[in-house]
Amino acid sequence: MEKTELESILHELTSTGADFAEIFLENSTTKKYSYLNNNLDDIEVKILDGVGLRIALDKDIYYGYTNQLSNEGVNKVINNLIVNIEGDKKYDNIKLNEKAVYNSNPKINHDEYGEENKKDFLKKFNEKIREKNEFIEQVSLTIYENDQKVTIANHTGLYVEDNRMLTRVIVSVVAKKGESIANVFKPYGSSSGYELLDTIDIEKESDIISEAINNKLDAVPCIGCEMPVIMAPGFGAVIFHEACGHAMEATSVADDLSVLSGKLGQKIASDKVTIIDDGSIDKYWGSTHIDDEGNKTRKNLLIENGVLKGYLIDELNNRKMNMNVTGSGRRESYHYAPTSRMNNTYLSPGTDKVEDMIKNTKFGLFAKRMGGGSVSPTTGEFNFAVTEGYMIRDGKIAECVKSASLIGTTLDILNNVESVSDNLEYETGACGSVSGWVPVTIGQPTIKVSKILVGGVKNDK
Amino acid sequence: MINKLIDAGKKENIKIEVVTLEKEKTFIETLNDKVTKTEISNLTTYNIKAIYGKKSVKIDTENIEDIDSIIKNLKINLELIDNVDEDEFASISIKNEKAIEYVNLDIKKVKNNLLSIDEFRKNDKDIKSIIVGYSFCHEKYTITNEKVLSKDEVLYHSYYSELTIEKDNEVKTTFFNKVGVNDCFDGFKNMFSEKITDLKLKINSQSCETSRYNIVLSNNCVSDILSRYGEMFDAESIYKRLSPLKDKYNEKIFSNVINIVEDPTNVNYIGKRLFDTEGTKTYYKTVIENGIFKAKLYNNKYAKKDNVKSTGNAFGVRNMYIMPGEFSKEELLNEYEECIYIDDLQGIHSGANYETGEMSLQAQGYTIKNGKKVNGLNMIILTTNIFELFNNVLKVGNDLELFDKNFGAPSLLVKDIAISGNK
Repeated sequence: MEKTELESILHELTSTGADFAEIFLENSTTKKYSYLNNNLDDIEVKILDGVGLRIALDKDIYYGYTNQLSNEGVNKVINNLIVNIEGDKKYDNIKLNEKAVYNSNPKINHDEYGEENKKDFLKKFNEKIREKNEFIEQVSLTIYENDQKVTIANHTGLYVEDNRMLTRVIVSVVAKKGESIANVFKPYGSSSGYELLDTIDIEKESDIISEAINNKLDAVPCIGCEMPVIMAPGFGAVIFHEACGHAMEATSVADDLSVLSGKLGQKIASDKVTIIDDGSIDKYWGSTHIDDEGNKTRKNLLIENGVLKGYLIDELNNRKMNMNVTGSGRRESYHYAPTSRMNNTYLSPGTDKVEDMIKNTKFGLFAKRMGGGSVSPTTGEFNFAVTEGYMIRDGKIAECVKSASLIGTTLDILNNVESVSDNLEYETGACGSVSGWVPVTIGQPTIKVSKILVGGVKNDK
Repeated sequence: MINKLIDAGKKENIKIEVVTLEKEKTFIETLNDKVTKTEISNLTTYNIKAIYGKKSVKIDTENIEDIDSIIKNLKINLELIDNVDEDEFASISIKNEKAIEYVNLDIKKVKNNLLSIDEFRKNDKDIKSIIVGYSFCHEKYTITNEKVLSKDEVLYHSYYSELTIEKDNEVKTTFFNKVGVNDCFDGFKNMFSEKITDLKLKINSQSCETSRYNIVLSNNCVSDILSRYGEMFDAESIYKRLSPLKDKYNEKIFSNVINIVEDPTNVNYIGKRLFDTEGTKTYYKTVIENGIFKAKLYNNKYAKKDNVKSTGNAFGVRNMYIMPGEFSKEELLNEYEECIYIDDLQGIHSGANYETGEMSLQAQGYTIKNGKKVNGLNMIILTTNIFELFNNVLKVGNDLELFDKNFGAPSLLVKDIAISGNK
């Protein structure tokens, strides 16, 4: 749509008294290459092309979206929205600024890499994984590429375009030994192009996967009770994503429905906990130049030495909070209204030594790899899955245990973080909430939590 | 445009079939005494299947105008893929015999209905907040290829609520929903009194000792578990060695009181569909009979591989449920002098492992003595696997409910399941 057309739409949207109006145009193409059964099994393509329109009067919000981009289609959405507000037009002359354009600037564009090269990478990775382990039943490899162009304009004259690129590789392996079945899942991703593939050491990753498979095939049931847990760097940070990340989003804070509502400036975690969310880290999987409301992403200090310092705040939830917007308004696509979400969330490194954490644990769990989890921000009760774990006995890492969930409450767990090492690593993931699924990175060094409830069976020893 | 696309494909010797989904949706949400969200949408999506020789690929697009670009992408993808499992198009046109009765949505009435639920909060100081949401969806499906034009249409309503109480400095929350082909607001509103009473019982909830217990799993929990593993009956998932049921066809895998059916023809459930996304007529089928795995679910491609007919499951499943038994929930709770009743499971997407069948799930519920809820239970973890769980079912409740267009279940009485706690 041309600038004048966008201005005209904004005028229409505010014609019945709305004090906020926004247009979110999206054109995106997602391509998934699935390599399975030793061949390129499928290629799925998904193309979105539509517009989301949002208006508000004070704290009342109305959203409409369509992919019928004719005048008739767009006007239908406009009319369905403006009928909800009755008042006097507030803006006589909405003029958009010069469009600011952002690009992802990858080293290797998605269409430059070559289709045969993508297939070749998958073939080599598949062969390497299979040759390392005789028990493997299936290897599923996926390359996921997404090119998204968003154009955002609002009643203040904001007018921006962001050309985003995401590339991801997902490995999923299933193995069987007798009656025992084990699986391993590993993702790699960045908000850039096919230079991602150069960062994946196929040999090393296949060795890691094979070792995990062998250990997990012999895994025994986990002991279920409260115990100290040491969490490996990288995906271990799902504990913070679930324990406090969602509870710091204005999505729940603004309506006083978060366990962390009203606690700014209070000590909510151990001194060792400093948590940052930063959507501007170059090329990170959860990064964008601007958020989905057109505001620049930035580094947001959320918890510092255990004290709650900030929340993640989007434009319209800020009408209830009256603080600074943090560039955290996100949405999966134009099918959703945006709300405050995490980008790249990490625990700052400390100084404790990993070997000391293990040595000083008489009985506990070493959580080497984690799956996802979920949380109720209102109660602070959360869970996450350990997908590769080992008991710790008398200061040493012992037997591999079957997958277990860990559960806790926000304030208990944050205060139970007793050690934080210096080996910060990051992992990529996907986070689901009211504005859909968005790519996120989580990061942490190795940490030790003094006690958390682990799912399993009774300890008969 | 669809016919133009089909013609353009013919010029390249590519056969094309298009499934068109037109969806209109209205969504309204309230928080206490205010309407907080009103969303209206109108989308048309095209799922384009292309066959060239033995190869087939698909593109899902919202823009069918750029035919040259679509054909170019189809050609590239057909050239690249290795899979030569043959696929086919719909061969028979299918249409609704009876036109659907369209509902003109009275948005004002809907908003007033949702806001009327706030009277529960106004009359009860322990209720901190009530979020209520409503969706009305109207979907039209059309399948078009050179020989076939099939049409289907559905309407459905769904309500949900997130209810939060605060008492004695403790906050508890519960989530529940109701769906229907017809408007089910009255039935939804009638749920609130019991939900509020049950939630208040969870104040001062405790954990339990880690041990093995006899449990009753509520219908919503059973449905959630079934939805995580529903794909396990799919022939494609079995063939690809991903399903936990690989190698178990025709074997007894669950308790003999477990019968699972798929019923996409049932007009009373919102998952009702005339045909799947390949145009195959749907039908009622028994997937698990007295605990035995009787029927794999097929799309065209995998039906051809197994030399059988498609079962009309190219879209996955619609209206799949465990058949109800004869026992009321009260009878299940009364079976043992003591047991645990679990009415809330969290973290299923991550804590339930599809390929291995293992699950470790955060749970909440009540301790039961002589059939009565004695106190709330939380900070507990259910640890089991899909085979142990469904093999240990002793009795099936009569309270079948379908919670979305795919799955439903009744409550189940299950013996001897590991629960972890911190007591």
